[in-house]
Amino acid sequence: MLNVLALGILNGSIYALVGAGLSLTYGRQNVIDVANPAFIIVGAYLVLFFSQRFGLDPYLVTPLALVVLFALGVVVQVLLINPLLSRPDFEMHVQSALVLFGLALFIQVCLVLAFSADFKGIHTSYTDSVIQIAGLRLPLVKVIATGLACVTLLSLYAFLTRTYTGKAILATYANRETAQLLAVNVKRIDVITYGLGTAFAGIAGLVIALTFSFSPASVLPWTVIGFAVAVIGGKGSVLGTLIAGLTVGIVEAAVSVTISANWTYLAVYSLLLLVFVVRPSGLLGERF
Amino acid sequence: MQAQHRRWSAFVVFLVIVAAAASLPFLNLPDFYLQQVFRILFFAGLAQSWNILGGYTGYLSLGHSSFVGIGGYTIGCLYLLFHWSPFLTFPLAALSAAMLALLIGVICFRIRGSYFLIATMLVLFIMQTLAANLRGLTNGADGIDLPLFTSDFNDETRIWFFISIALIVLVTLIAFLIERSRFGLNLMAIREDEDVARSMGVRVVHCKAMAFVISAALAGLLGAFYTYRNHVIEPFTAFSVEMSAAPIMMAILGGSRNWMGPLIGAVVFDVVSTSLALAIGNEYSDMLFALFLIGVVLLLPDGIIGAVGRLRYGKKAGSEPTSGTVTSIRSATKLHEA
Repeated sequence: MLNVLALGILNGSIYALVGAGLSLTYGRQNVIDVANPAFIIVGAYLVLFFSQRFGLDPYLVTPLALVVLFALGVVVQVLLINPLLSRPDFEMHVQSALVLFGLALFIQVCLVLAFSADFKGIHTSYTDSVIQIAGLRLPLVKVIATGLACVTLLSLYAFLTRTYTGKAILATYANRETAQLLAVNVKRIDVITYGLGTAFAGIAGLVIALTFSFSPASVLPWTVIGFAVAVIGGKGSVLGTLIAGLTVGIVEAAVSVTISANWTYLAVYSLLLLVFVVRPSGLLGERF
Repeated sequence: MQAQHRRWSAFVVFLVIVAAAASLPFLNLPDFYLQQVFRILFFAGLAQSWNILGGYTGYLSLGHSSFVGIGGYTIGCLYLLFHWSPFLTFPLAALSAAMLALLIGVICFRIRGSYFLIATMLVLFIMQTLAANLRGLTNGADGIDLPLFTSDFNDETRIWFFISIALIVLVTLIAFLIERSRFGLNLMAIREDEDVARSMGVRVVHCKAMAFVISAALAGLLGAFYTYRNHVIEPFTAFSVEMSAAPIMMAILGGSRNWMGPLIGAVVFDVVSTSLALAIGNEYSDMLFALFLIGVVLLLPDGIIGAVGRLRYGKKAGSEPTSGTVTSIRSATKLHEA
């Protein structure tokens, strides 16, 4: 029982990290950001590539990967999303989804060409280490990942609520026109938000690279998890994302132990559908 | 402006083209071309059925292959459990898809826009998981094999070809009639602005549910037919993301505002992707295809039909929606006053 809970919390915090980037970019300006999970896998490959290239620990090369991803995010926002902004809402949904789906496909093919379609993983001296807490044997990398998730999500929360730029992002979420009237440069905020979203995908990528194996085809399963977390948590809500990630992790662990691993996804999907019906804006999301 | 695509003459042109296509099996063409045309016809039908909800009503379903899959599984399971002939159970396939749509509609029509899109995608994954795990009913991941109905390979190819022609005519006729009806105008009013449409007296929920059910029933029928033609059904190909994404791309590429768009889109899409794959191999063609998709959406927002229209009338991109809103609201009002 305690074991299940621990496993759920460890995986759940990783899921929260996966959903964090999406929660920032998805739903904003009617953009359905199906490309964000692809950037997670790009992040995983970047960390792998840099750490092999420079012979450094994966954690040390992550900042470099984040810078690259932020730059990629800025390019995507400027080249692909900005041209769609002037279109009517209902067209924006499908067109942004299609453009970003195309981008995700493009990224996937590029990854296959650059790194082959094989599963990869990062092995370090501490990959197989286990630490014991209260009689539970927990893999060290996942414990670090949980800590990392808490720290990054809390700093994201602080950034959004304490800094000028963060408040401007929230204001743009809440009401674009009003934010504009209050002298927020919404175009610049869009770029920063998307860049932050892809940079967060990089942190999720680091964690996934260290704890799971990944291949270019991993984009789809992580897309599902990412959307589950972002939607359950409520778009733009950091705390919601954390709670949703943990919920998904615990539900998944509980179902796989009590029923069968085959049904875990069904449980997660049903949970998500339930949230849709009962509270479409997510647990802590506001009804914008 | 009485739109040209709403005239019967346009539909007759379509029938002539289809009749020309129907003569293909008699020309002794290599089997490859026949298969290609067959696939185009199937996906054109799928795109057309998706467009009834996605294009006219503006509710974008990412789960269209749920209906293809449930259509296929209806005939598959009935054959597996009771040995009923798949031909006789085709109507049941349409019925079960319609029931599923009604069920999803009850859940999902409370939500709009991007949420609807994701919810329908979820339904697709739920169906996939169910099909893979309800072993007693669906034979799990092993799938169900269906019988051949003739031993002659050529006859079989031809029969399926003619059935696919009949189906594309049926699906297109329904889309065409919807466009000409007040029901169709209601749908378009919902697309342009659901709240305004509601305030004008359009029975929004009723219309959306009808559109969803029609769209799903047609997809179920097509799915049953496609499954029987492949003689096998298996969870991950029946409920696949690709099968959902392809019709959407076709409809958007051709233009999702009228019945011609999905047809044109399906032809262009299939010809481009097949010839790319043949010319430069799968991996690079996927890459070019992704770029093609991005380019089409960015540069041709209202599809090929829209681009042609703009060339002819010299309109700017984006001017259409406003006039569209006004006309469809007006027509919706007029109809309900009558």
